[in-house]
Amino acid sequence: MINYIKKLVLFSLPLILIIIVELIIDPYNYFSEGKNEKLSRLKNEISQKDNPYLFKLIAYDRSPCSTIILGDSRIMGLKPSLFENYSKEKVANIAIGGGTIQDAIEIFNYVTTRHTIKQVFFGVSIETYSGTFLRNRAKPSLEIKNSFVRYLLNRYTFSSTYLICRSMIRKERIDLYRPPFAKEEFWKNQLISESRFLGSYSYPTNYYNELKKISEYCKEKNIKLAFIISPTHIELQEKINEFNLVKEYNRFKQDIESLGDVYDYNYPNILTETKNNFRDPYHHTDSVARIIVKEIYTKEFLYAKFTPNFTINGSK
Amino acid sequence: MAFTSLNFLIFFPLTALFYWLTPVKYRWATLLFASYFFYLNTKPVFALLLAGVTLTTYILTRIIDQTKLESKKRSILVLTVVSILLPLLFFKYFTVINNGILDLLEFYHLRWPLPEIKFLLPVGISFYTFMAIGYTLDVYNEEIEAEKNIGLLGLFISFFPLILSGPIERAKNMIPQFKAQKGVDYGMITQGLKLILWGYFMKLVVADRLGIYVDAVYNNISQHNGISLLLASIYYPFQIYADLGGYSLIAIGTAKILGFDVMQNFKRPFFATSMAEFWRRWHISLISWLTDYVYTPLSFYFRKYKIWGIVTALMITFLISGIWHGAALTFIIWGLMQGIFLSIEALTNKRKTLFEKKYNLSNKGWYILLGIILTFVLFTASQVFGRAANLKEAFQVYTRIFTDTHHLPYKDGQTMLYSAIGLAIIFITEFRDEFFPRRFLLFENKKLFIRWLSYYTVIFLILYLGVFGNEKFIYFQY
Repeated sequence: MINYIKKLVLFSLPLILIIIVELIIDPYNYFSEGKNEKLSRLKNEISQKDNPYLFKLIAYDRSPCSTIILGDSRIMGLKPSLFENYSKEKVANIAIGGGTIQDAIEIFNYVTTRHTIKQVFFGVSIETYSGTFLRNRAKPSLEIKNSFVRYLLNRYTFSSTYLICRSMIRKERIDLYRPPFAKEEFWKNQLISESRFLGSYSYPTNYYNELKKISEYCKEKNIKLAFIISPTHIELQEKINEFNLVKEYNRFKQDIESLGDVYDYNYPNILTETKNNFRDPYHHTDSVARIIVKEIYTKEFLYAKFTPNFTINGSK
Repeated sequence: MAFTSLNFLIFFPLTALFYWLTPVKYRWATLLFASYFFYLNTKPVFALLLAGVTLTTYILTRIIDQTKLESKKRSILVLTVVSILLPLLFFKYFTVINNGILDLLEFYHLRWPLPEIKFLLPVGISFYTFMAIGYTLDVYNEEIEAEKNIGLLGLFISFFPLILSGPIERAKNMIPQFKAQKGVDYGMITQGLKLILWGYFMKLVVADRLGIYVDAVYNNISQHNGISLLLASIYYPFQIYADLGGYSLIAIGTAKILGFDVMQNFKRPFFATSMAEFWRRWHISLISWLTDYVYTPLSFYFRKYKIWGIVTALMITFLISGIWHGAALTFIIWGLMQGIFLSIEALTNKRKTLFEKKYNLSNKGWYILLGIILTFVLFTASQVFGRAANLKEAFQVYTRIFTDTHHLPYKDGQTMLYSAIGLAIIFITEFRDEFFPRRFLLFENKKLFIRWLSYYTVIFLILYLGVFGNEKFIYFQY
């Protein structure tokens, strides 16, 4: 029996060692917010990119705030500090690159069951408001977050710990998910990749129903619900015509207008026609982000097509 | 308490420890206590039902055992089977029957006294009911004596590795093992751990990963085109195999660690070259139960009709199998389809064998592959009824697979890639076991380094590619 137990312990040793290193590094600040500046920087550079939901949700739970921003990489560009300049309250941007509406719904449900929120900004687009854009990365991240055993035994903690250790030992900078192209080439590539979304577009009955539930919940709890359609470059907007989705695009806008306030920047105008306002066809620059946030708070609209939803309390 | 839950990972080692520490004579009592504790974790009130079924089975089978007069014995048998079946029929079919009557009478503007009622199906009821009935029939057929110790019978019916989704074991295999007084068998513990590891791989890496795609498509059929529906329909048989197959391996492994041998539930079903062979490899414990207690008596009863008697027995057996799976028209059609496939094979079997002999086909690779593909296609086609929520959706899937290709299919790169990796690993290992048994061994390799490396690889694949948080197994609903 002793021999058997010895063998079992020996077999488990590598796993135990990995867990010890993970506990020391704690790449997602699960156990505590690290005080080591260098380590914190590495966590921001590596863990936040490896599993942004896990990173952001742990941070949000540690210091929750009443305004949240949900959506994909486009809305992620609206930095909390820009909002805080106007609202004078802390704002959390829990949007992530490639985030789906399913992710946003999952996070909204999680946040509202644990914290009190006053305002939520949903970043939406025709690409994400699609019946075939169903990926759900928020749910597994929430499951990891809710159990320390899962936190220690999951691929994100493992890979982030490994990359952080590698960066520390080799003293190298690790840049995850950086496109391997120059701007022009990446631009073209992104335009081509739009077919991934629009080519498989179908009307998302499931999303509409779930967003409707959220809209009703917001009404009941007096939470301001606003949708932001981020600006994309005109070349990308033209793809909607190319894929014969004009009718679907209008239906998408009608749907979200029936659910909450809508700030629409995605139509042909000087802002979306200027290439310099974009890093790539999908993503606007920081200067555009400043304009968007300013318009939302001052209600002085130069570029946004603002459609208030009169059925929501406090939105008039 | 599901096998994939954290609770189980705490419960099981503690149970095993207590089990081995208990004096041999009372080990069954420890297991019985652990089994009820395990079951109480699902919904405590249902444990009363389990105890009720056990008590009924115990009393009535004891009476059967002591009755000499055949006609009286038969009457008690019928009473026992009906008594055991009643809870299953009530919980599984009451809602469907009641709503059916409600709809029918409403159509004629008549009133039905019972409103729409929904009952929660007690987890595992289909499995322990079949185990109890099997035990009763074995006692009636004098294959075993009625168990005098109600605790041992209770343990057989409630044994925690098997209660939620089988394998549907037989009393003649399990009760003698519960009675046997054995010491700790480290070989069996190691074997059990290996089975559990592979079971987790099948469930967490393959079944639950495929489930993401299948659920995304089948839960929103109208949003997806024909290619997505086809892909999801192809994925589903693999998902269900990895789900129940994985569950069964964990169950068998868990029992093995405690020192019990439980029957195999799957034997590389997707390498079957005919539907008859498929059903000898798929959900073996259910099919062998149906064969022993339904098909064989029926085919004996219909023997004067020769081949048509067999066809009738097949159709009835698989109709029962369909109804056992669920109280819905989709499952009835599913069962009938299996019956039809098997009947066609039974009717053409002689001619097929002659044809194979004439052209010496049975050993030809391409002919075996053709058989495998055809069997898979037939099973996959029938599984559309097993997965769709209702008949309308099932027919919609069939129609749209052939007509709706107007846009690109739904792609979830990560899910599809990880599923492909998991499926490839299962395919390679099963291909090896099917065609090169005892060769290229990994878990069973004589070299410690290779064994440990393969264990670690599987552990990391589970942690890296596994889908966690889904504590449901498909067969919990049956």
